[in-house]
Amino acid sequence: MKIFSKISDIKYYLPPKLLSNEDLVFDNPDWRMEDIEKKTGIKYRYICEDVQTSKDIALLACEKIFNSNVRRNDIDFLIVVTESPEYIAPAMSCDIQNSLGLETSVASFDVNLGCSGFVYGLMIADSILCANNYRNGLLVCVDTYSKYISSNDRTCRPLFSDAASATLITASTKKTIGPFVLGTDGSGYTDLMVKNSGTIKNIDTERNLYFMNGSAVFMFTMRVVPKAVNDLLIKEKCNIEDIDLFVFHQASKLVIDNLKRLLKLSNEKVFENYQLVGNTVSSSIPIALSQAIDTEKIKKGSLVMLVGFGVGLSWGATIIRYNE
Amino acid sequence: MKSKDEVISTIEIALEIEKGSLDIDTRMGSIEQWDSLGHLTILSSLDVLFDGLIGTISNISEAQSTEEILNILVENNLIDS
Repeated sequence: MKIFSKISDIKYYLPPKLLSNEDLVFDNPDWRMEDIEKKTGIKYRYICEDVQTSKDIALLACEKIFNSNVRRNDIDFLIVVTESPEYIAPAMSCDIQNSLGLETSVASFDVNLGCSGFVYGLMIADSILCANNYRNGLLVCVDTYSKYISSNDRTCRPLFSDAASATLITASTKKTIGPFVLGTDGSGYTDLMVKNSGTIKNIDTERNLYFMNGSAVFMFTMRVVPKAVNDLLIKEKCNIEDIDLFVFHQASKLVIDNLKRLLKLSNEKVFENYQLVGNTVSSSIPIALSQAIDTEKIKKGSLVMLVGFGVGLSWGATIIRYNE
Repeated sequence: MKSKDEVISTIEIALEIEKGSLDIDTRMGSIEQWDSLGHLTILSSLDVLFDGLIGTISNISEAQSTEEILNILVENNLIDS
């Protein structure tokens, strides 16, 4: 019998420290916060405490999964999507496997991707489950961009939240995930990057800081995402009207509003949570998915398109049939 | 085909500044409203004006002034020179 995969559970963790627009103005009195909020749509961001790391919050998200419906020794593989690991080496997934007390037979590895990472992770998990005798995989997405962002960075600080998510993906007799459309345009790799990081020559290691060329990334999104959506619809042989809900990476109001305009999507067809959650990078889609399920915007059998895009520059889109 | 005046008017509306306050030399950063976020609003508004064609022009995001935006639009045959 052919084996497919399905999303069985999604849990997430948002750090307790809330950064409001008033807090940002307190730090930066010259920022016109009303204008920034009007364009980004973001009112709050969640920020890790100084001592809290990506591993810490990833573990908290994973523990929520084990508190609900799966045992640790049922996990066959662990994928950690992150651009903010505790160390460049080893892969943080190895540390997480050990800290969670997972079996040593678990296959663990990291994926270095940002806002497209959940869709890539889903494709990898689906491929592993379909090609092996595995039953359960844990897809962990975690990013703590606040560690890289300067307090006076007007482009990045109003946008990004720290967050972790854990998605349980299990074997299924029905196809519920896919097809996929993935892509990369590395010509824009400097448009979103952590400068002074890694092994680049003549590195200034004094400060690793996140950089975003906002207009270049915005134009990339407008160019690439509508095409990816349409390519996926063709691949799935369905129409845009057949999709019950679109869950885009929650980049900002400006980005989501423009995607709705270009794809002629009504507000009801597009899930949004950036207002109160911010842009949580790789966890953006799983958190949105989880909230859409909790609020019954996604119901049993709903056809949902997920679209991630960002650092790389990279993008990924897929369709899931929820809970079939 | 749109006119240069329509483009300038669109930028003024995007930046929420008074009509007639933008000139050819106005640059990103030269007025408070034209910051990095204001720049995204300009690109978005121009994309509406030109029915989604702005998204296909790869170097438009590099334009930093009214003049540079107009020049790129001329090069791409979206407005008259």
